[in-house]
Amino acid sequence: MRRYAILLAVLALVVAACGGAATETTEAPGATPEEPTTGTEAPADDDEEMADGGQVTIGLFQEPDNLNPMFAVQTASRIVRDMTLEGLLDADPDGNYVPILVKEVPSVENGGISADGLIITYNLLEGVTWSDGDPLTSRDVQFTWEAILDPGNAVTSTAGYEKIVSVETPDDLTAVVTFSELFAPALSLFSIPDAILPAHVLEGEDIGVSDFNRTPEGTGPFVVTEWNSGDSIIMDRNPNFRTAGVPILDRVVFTIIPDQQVGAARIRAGEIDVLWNLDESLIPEFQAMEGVDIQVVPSSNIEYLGLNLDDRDDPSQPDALFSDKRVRDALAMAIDRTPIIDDLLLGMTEAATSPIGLGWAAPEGLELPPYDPEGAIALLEEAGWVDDDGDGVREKDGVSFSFEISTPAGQQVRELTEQILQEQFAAIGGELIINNVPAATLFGSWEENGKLKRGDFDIVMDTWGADLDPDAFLTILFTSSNIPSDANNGDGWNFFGINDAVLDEAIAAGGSTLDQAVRKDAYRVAVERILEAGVYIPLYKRSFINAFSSNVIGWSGNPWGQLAWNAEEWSLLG
Amino acid sequence: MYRFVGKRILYAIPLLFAISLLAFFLLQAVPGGPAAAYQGIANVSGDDLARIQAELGLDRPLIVQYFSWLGSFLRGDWGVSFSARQPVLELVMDRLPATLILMGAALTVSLVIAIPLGMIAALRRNTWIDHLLTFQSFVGLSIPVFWLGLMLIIVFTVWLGWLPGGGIGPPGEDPDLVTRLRYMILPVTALSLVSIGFFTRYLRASMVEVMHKDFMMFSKARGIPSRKRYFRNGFRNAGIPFITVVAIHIPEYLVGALVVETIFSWPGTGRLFWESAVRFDYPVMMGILVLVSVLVVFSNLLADVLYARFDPRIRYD
Repeated sequence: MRRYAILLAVLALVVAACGGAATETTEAPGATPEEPTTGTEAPADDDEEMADGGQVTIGLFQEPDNLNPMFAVQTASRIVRDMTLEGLLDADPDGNYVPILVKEVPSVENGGISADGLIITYNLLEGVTWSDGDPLTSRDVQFTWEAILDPGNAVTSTAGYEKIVSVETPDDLTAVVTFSELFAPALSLFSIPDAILPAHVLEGEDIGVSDFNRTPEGTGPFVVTEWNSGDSIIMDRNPNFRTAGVPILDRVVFTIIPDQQVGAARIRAGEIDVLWNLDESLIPEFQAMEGVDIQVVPSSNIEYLGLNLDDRDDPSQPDALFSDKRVRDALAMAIDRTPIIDDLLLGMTEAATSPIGLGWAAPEGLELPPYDPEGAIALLEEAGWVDDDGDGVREKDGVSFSFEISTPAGQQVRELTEQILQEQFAAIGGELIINNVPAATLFGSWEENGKLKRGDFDIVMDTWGADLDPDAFLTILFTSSNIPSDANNGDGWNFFGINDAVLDEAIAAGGSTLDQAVRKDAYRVAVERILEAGVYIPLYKRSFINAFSSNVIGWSGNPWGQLAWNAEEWSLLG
Repeated sequence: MYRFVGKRILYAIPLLFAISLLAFFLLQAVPGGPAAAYQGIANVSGDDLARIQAELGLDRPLIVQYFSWLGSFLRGDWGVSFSARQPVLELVMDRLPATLILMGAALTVSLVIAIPLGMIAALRRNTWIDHLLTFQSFVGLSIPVFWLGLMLIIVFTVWLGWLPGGGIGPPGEDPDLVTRLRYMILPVTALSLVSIGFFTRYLRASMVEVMHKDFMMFSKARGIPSRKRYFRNGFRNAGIPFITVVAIHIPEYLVGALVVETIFSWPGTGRLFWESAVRFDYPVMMGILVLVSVLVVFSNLLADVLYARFDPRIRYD
């Protein structure tokens, strides 16, 4: 019996692993810096690595799941594949669409978008070839749409694509996309975070197990030459890239590292040149490191507190504490973000004022409720919450002013933030109980009894960010039809339980036209409504922090791109 | 003998079947699931999730899923990884050589070091050498592998800069044998240390026991030279249970490899398992679990066979 103890141990490990798992980053808009700080010194000691002066090695602590945009969910996948696969459009650091595989961004003015917004015409760039030498044609656009809707393919999302009725190809360089109904984020289709797939490679293949998922043919400046599972992904310059002399580097190697600590050791030892996504707690160590520059890229991701308006045990009933707006406002007023931003995040970011933090849709000039513990106390007293028994915690009708906060376990900055909040809420007579759980438990689906989906929480601390087009983000988080319930099979992520007709209408209005000015106004109304309700308390903007060896130059950040979004411009010093 | 082996293999089949069934249900019983990977992607709707579940076959009853998996598995089709979208067999076989190299090297190193140490400790019992070796063994047994791994990296990679801190070779190059060996030193050290302590302790105890046996006293009385006595009479007898212990210990390396491969970015099956667990990639986890189960069962069988082979007193019917 003893002999199989190991096997049992392995099984136990599986259970433990799964339980504590799913802390991986999922796809989120990434990366932009301050001024690139470039040192003049050569790196420490890599006599053996830099033979041709043309290779940059990037440490990733997450191995991409695969490189096919139809299937991939990992951020790491997007970092790698964005170097080789391209969409029709991309976004510049300011959040404007820019043409990549097309001559210009379609608009009503240039005739690319029909007056009713239902037909979009893309004019492909001439002379674009895939890395295997075949030309890019409008058939590739058509094929991409067909592949995404093919029921055999189990793609991640068909959102938007299912509203397309046809993709016509009048000639090799023209693709005409016709929608059955207006789809406001239409320009993000075929572009962000998607890409055009090569019809000549994938047609007739079982895409679900294709080699393309690991070593895709692309139109971008680099091409994957080798994926050594668990070890490295090697990208070489695409010999068929449309612009001569681009990229500058011969080779970019992604090496898979277990975590940031090991990555820090390896960048210090000169084994890697670039380290992706550092934890704030590591910054002092990197700042002290000779020959390493830090890149801070703002992102649209916002760290926020989400309040549950419904009773935990019976979601059909209002929550005894948070259903009172005065209580929600009091909590918002009790929070002082200064110690969180200055001490925990080392001043590398700023307070957030809106769920949409960046891009064309981000409302300007919003202000947070001021930090005012006195005012908060006054509100609570007015709402009937008083400390009768003198234990420091308020009560009302026998209910204690005590509530739980949950966040995915094992994240240092968040755990420290919770302790700060605990003190700040205690100062107004509230008791904050920390109950962190594995990410999979918190974010699990309806069937898996995920805590958020089932409303089994008081306050959640989480990060979520709007895409360049905020339509989907606002819809699934804040519209009443997206409150998970039996009626909608647990669909949606409006775990706040916010049910506001004006808000629903504003979000719908934002999605009812392709006119950006009109949409922006509608989203401003929506955001103000969300903040007014007090269920979503924005804390701070999340930044992406990367480290570059000082001999790598030319990098810059893009909140809508990823770490290597402009890798074709990178080069090495002397 | 052949009958014995044949019988044991026959017994192993229902056992492996039971293990795979248990593993399948345990994996699925864990809260969370492949859907957790889609959290935070705003445009993945509940409909999308339901569609993906159906397209991956996850909406069927568990027992149906199990037998469908088993049927394919027995025909050599290990399924398709949810996350990599590659055949599982290919993924696992891609990673297996790295694990076997690591385990093989660690086992060899452990034995080469532990056998002499165990012998010396037994022969110099209760001297300072014995105490030192005992101390060393307990240190080896007590140090958590993940901590040791990080320390090795800090000392030999960061401080001294002597050895690479991870990977199987320099990224993007085709390394020669010396370079490959350099990359192996730290992970093999980390993986061997625990076993060295364990083997040393076991061999010492076994030797000490044998040394007190009558035949040892007798051989001494006959005036057989010490060296010959220790090796021919002593080690040969103490070695029999030792072989069994080593064979049973082999799967232990797999567990260690899971940690060591993760720390040292070693592209083996252990790390693949860990990554798959994080991603709820059931088909990959099942493939590796079955592989490990087979290894455990066969290590035990090997132990029994070796025991019979080396100990003339034991005969199997």
